Amino acid sequence: MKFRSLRTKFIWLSCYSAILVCCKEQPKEMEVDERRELCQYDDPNIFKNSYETILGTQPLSWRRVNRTDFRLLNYAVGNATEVAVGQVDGGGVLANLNRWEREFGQDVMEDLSGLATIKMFGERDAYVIQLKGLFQKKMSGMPVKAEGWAVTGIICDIGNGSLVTVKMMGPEDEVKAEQESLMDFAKSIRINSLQRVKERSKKVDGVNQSKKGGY
Amino acid sequence: MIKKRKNILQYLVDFFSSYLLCVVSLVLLGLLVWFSTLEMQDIGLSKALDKYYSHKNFIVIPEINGGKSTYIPLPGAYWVCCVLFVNMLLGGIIRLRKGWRNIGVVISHFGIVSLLVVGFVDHHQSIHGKMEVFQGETYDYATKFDYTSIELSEFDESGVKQRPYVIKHDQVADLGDRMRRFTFKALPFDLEVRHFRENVVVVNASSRARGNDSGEIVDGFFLHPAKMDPSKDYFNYGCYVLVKPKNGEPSRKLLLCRSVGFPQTFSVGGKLYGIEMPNEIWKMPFSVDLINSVGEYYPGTRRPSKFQSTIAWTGEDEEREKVQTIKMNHPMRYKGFTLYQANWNEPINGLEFSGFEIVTNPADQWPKVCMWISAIGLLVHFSLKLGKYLERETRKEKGNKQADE
Repeated sequence: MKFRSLRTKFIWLSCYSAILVCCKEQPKEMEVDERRELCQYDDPNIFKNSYETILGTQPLSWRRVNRTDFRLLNYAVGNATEVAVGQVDGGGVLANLNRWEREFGQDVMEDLSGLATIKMFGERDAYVIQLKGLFQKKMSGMPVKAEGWAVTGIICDIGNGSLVTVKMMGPEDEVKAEQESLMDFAKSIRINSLQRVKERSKKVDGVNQSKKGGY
Repeated sequence: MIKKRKNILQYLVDFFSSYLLCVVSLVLLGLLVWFSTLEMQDIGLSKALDKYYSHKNFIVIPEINGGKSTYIPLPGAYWVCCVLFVNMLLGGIIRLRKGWRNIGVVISHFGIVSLLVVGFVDHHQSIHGKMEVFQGETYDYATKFDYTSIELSEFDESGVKQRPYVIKHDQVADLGDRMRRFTFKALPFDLEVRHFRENVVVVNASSRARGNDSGEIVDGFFLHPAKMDPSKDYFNYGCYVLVKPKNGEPSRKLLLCRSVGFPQTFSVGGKLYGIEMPNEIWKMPFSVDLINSVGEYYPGTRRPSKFQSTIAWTGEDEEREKVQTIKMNHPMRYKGFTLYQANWNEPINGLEFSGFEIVTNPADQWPKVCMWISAIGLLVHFSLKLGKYLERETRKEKGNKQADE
């Protein structure tokens, strides 16, 4: 009789413990104090992904977002501004610049004279266009309209009929505020297959240092 | 004769040392291995291992043929091994009649019990990670298999990243649609993490190709839960994060996903911060440079027949770098870390690549010792049996000869 009551108590205790374990409430708030040591992962120049055909030094105020069709690099800036880097095969610099002109209802250009230029990929000329006003376009079949918007577009012919485009588009005040970052970013763009890191990443005091800020 | 009544302890010892329990445990283990192998094709290797062999799962209900439940509840393999350990210790060693006749059996049982102990140590102490190296770069870190993390760093005025705070996998993996707030003593904001998913696809909101079950849209994108491809065994973790400054500045919503691969940046109180969701970063006590990697496939297939890599590596206590070739079954070992050649791809964009599995396991070499112990035990036992048999046969022959005479 004593054994049976002991066995019964044991069984009930096991069931109660199992219920307690299963119904344990998960905490709603946690304090985080764990930090890890810096390593090569934190060096923005380290090559982590060979599927990126284009790299650039991202300004810190930009947010990298997922790549989409035709956009090799995609960033969000401020509240509503986007920066997209693409590669186009064919069409030519003038035709692509005129496409952007039409999106803002501007007259198409006859030639590239009078356009500002910057240097990309070393010594190649890249043409810069700045537009503002009413943006109208069909995106994914849906008409998109935005008043008071601006775009800064940069196109560089990298040879063999291939063009690299860098386009910042969004509310006029946000686009204006990011001009310097956009130009620095465009100048930092490089293509993986043509450029390899020849020297190892520099270590200072055991901590890896990027040559300049940003990713 | 009055039969002495057993107390509960004696009943327990009898039960846990019984042959029946041993047979039942072995049959259960056989079933678990079989079902886990079948289910692995649907859910992938790491999920199957976690479901059937983790100590967190007491009961397992196998699902096979594309997720159809078998409605057969089985105990988790870890707990079956615990029972088998107790059974073999009690019945196979402690209660076994000791003597010269059984010494071999005792030794081999000891080897098997030790192997179970090795398994427990491996389960609780070993860490597995992955190191992907490209030619021309130096790597001193790996990422842990199937352990995501959320890393939050501050950038100083020159844009250099500071040591990141790490929110570990276990702190977010149970969230689902719930929210959890994370606080940082030295930072001017809190983080709210919600809608954590094991595998997602990042969808452009304007495409409307898929439904948005969470209702959140960040920078024109949302996370759509996706079924994992078991052949790739890759978890694309994702979640939404709300940055809540303590100084009254507006909150900032961010979308984190493993596939983005770069920090999402925001500023609070004039300082810049970045947050990202890599698999947990694991710093190594050595750095690796890939010199070259070579691979071959079986003719007409994409099954690798061999691949190997030649690396130059430098340990943290070493002054000189060493060159070593790593190939299948020939890993590199350093300070408790073992580097195995795990996978290989043909050069992409002209860059050679190699993938290594990093394992740290205090019981790394113990299975070898346990197998030797068991082998010696069996050798002793069967040698004694053979000796006895030969002695018996010799006596029989002598007896027959004497009878003939």
